[in-house]
Amino acid sequence: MKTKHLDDAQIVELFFERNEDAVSESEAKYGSYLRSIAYNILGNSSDAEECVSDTLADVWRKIPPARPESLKAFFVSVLRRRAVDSYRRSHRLRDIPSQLTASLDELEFLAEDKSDVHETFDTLELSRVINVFISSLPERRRYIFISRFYMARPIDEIARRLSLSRSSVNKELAHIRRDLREKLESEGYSV
Amino acid sequence: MRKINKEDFNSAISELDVSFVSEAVKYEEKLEKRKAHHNVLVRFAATAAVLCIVFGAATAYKLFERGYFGGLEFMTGTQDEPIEYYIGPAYSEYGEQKEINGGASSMIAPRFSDGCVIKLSVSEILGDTYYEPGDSTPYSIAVLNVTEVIVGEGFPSEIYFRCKESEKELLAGYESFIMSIDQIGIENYVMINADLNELKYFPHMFTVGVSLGYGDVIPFNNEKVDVNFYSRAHGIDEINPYDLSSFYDDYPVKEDALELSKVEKEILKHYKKDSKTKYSYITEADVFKTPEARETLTYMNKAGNVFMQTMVSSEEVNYRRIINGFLTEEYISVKNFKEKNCEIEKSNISYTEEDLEAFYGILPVIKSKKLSPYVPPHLKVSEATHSFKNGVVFGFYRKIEGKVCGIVGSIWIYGYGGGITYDTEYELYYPDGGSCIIEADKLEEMISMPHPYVYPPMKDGVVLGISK
Repeated sequence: MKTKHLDDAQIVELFFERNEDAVSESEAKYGSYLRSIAYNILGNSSDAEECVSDTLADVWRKIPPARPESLKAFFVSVLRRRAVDSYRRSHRLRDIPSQLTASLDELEFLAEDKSDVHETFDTLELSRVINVFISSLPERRRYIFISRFYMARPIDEIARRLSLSRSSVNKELAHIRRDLREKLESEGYSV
Repeated sequence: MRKINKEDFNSAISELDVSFVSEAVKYEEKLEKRKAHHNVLVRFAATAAVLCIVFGAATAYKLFERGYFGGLEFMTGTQDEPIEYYIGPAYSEYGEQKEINGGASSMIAPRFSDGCVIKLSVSEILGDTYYEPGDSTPYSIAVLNVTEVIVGEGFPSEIYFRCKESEKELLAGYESFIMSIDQIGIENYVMINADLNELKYFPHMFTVGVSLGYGDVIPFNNEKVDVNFYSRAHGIDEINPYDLSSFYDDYPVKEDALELSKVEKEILKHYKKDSKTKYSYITEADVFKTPEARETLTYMNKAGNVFMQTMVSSEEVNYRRIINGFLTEEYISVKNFKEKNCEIEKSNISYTEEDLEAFYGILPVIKSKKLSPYVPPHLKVSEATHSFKNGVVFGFYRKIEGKVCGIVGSIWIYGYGGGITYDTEYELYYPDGGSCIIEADKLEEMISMPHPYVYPPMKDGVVLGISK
């Protein structure tokens, strides 16, 4: 039997009331979803589990004052940052066979991290450029972009969710990569 | 120039506007909702739904010929020849890329393995530009003649191929192509021509979702495959791994256009030899083998149904009801049809003989559409800022509160603010002839699911950027 979860507004209210049920309800409602994204980024279950726990704690600290419009998206964005931090720490020790590594490797026009020519970047400026790029994409491509490069979803999973063949998703990704490259170049980035 | 590495990119992505994440989450939930309501429909929705229209129309035509419709009007003039559609092995069953004959890869072959492979020549490129809602790419339409049927049968002699406008001259530069229906999709389409202010039917509309590429079409000049076509089509030298650019370099016989079908046969033979699974085209007789499946077939015939047949995978076959060429939500799915205990799944909504006798024929409504009397209901259009590109009119049926309602959608597409914008309107027709205008969101609510052709109108001032 399917468990009935609280709706997001109720969970957010629990956070505001500093009621710890907010955490358990969030875990019950979004735990497995978040774990799958964490696993895609980190490539191992125990790290993913730890990442989800940290994310729940982070969100507990952020709400209030934050009152997210979409609680699920809020969790995903917090988790992503947390998971990428963890990924970076681990990445120094070994190459992680995760979907995040795979998705970044697909962007073959970007230099490897070990590049000798590394400048200090204005991450927010680059993020702005990527924001503009994403907003120019049709809805489905936006979804594919976020799924692959933000949530690090496997291509097969994206295809399954969209009810497309893997090759169709691959084709969409190829065009996204090409257009992204053009966009970055037009904004003065060397790729 | 600032040099980016992967870590820079990854960091920047983490700072993306959360609204994109929110949108993706909502989009995903919408997809899940669709699956929950109509698991099978979702698999059709984006691409196969359009297949349904034509193949359904084909079946409809055949049934019409046999007198099933009792004089109801069929889409006269939109379907000249019936199409027999065969079902082939699915992509997944080919497994990983494998080599045969010391070099050829199977990767290209599955695209042409679904029982529909035809050779065509370009007879004309229509002059108008068309846009689709949700897609700012300018498209042209090429009229293609079917010169040879390599796999399958009963194809129309002429099809319309929608390509990117930037690719039309490239397309026109070749003497022939091989195309696969599974790969490029097919739909029965109606568009309003901006210049002539009249409806234009495209009864056999093939489309590609993205730029022309390997697997969409195989181009020939002097019966030789031109591998440079793909780099020209993409405008870049990069060939994607799945495009298999080395295919013809590796394969010893690369000159003859018809070798493609031979390659296909070779691959099938290869898999037959190496696998216990039998790979052969599947027909109706293969599907309706068990008593329950035969009962399903009886039900379909008994009700004078207009079902179409398509392939989702070689483990599962789905039939969708089409009324006079227009899609409905009713489906029957035969799962594991190769097994002794195959499973039959039917949609919650089913159409009775009574339903089929008492629905409102929406085709005359569609045919009567003219551009000029219509004003987009939501957008404030000004000649100074909006230039009309084209319109789209289409129809489908849904059973609402026990009645079969026809739904006709109209879309206006304008050039605006350096990009495009569009507006939509939906009309609901009841069996008794009554009708009303209905908003897209209300319509989706009434039919309990998003529909691939239900587009909420764009808001005033919102511009969809032009894609290259």
